[in-house]
Amino acid sequence: MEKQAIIETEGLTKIYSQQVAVDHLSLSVMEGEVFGFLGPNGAGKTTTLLMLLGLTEPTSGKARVLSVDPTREPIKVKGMIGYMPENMGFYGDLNARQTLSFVAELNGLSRKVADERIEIAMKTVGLENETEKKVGAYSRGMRQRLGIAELLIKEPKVAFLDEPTLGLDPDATNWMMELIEKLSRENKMTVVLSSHLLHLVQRVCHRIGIMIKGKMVAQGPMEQLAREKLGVGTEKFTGIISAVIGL
Amino acid sequence: MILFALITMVSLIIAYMVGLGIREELAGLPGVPRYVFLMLFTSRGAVFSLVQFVAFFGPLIGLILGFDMINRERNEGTLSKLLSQPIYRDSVINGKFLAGVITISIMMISIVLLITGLGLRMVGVVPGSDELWYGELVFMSLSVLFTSPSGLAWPFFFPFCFGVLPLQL
Repeated sequence: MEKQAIIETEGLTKIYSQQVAVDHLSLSVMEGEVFGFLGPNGAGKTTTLLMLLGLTEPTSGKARVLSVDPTREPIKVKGMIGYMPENMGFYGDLNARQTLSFVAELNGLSRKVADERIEIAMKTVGLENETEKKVGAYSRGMRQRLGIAELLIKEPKVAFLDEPTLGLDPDATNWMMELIEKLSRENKMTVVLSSHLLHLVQRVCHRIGIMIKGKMVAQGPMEQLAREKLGVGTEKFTGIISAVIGL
Repeated sequence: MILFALITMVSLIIAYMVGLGIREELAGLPGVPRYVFLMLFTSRGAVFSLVQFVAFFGPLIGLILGFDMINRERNEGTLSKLLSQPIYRDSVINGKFLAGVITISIMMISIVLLITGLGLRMVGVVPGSDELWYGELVFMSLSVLFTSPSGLAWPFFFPFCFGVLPLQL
């Protein structure tokens, strides 16, 4: 884990008309790791991701993503990060191939490169037999897979996944987790994911950050958090955390 | 889609009725007066003239096209994905606007061309170059401007179009 930090924030704060969404967040994510944001709904996970992408401006504080300031150069950051939002939609009357080539076009890829990447991405997410089907007819699980494929088209160094398993059945959830592990291992992708499900985060993430009401309460590898903060084993820690943040 | 079809249909019906009227009028006159051809657009059919019709329904189309072009993306959850791609926000908005303008241009141009053709056949008068130039082109471009889906632009063009068009023709 002695690698350089790919994402760093310092005192990152976002205030939405009186309400503090993210409160002096200091965070660092290392190259190649899978980092999990854990916290109940409304803890500021999504807002943090949006600020790191340059989609919202922080009220105060600094952020650096791949040594670029997302507030100042959002386009540059957006080119390097793949983002999968929580409730994403698709253009229902396009088929999967058209959806992906649209993303490729927005990223300025040539047709040849785009076709190659679409092929690979569809294979990776297991949709290679559905490329000509209209996205409007896709099931929830398939849409989620297509979302990942969209992200892979960019071949990003960093992937932000906001609640990637939301609304998926156990099988699909398993599949998603295995895919995330695979991307991290084989593509050397840094993954930042947010979830309110502890056991998922625990399974794939190298390090976790627990957020409650906009504050980062704890940050580090699971075992270390368990030992240092509470002096218990991982299993007991899981139980305690679940009880504390009410999940 | 349905609205487009409806507007085209109504425009054609108006033009047809006006055309019939003009043909009758012309039969009783010794020569051909100036700007007969443009009367296709400006004289009343049963209830209203084509110009009035476009002035009334054009903005409606503009509004329908315009009012939720960004909101729809947001509601369907495609906006956040679109904005997380490395493109400028301006290009999203400009592209939306341009798409609306082009759609309306195609609609207006085809309606005017259809009516021109219909008029040629019915009235039997060939429009002079000044009629084509001032009448049809001005009518088309003003209508496009006027109808263009911009919540801000259309109140501005409303009096302008209403006042100028009938005078010009």
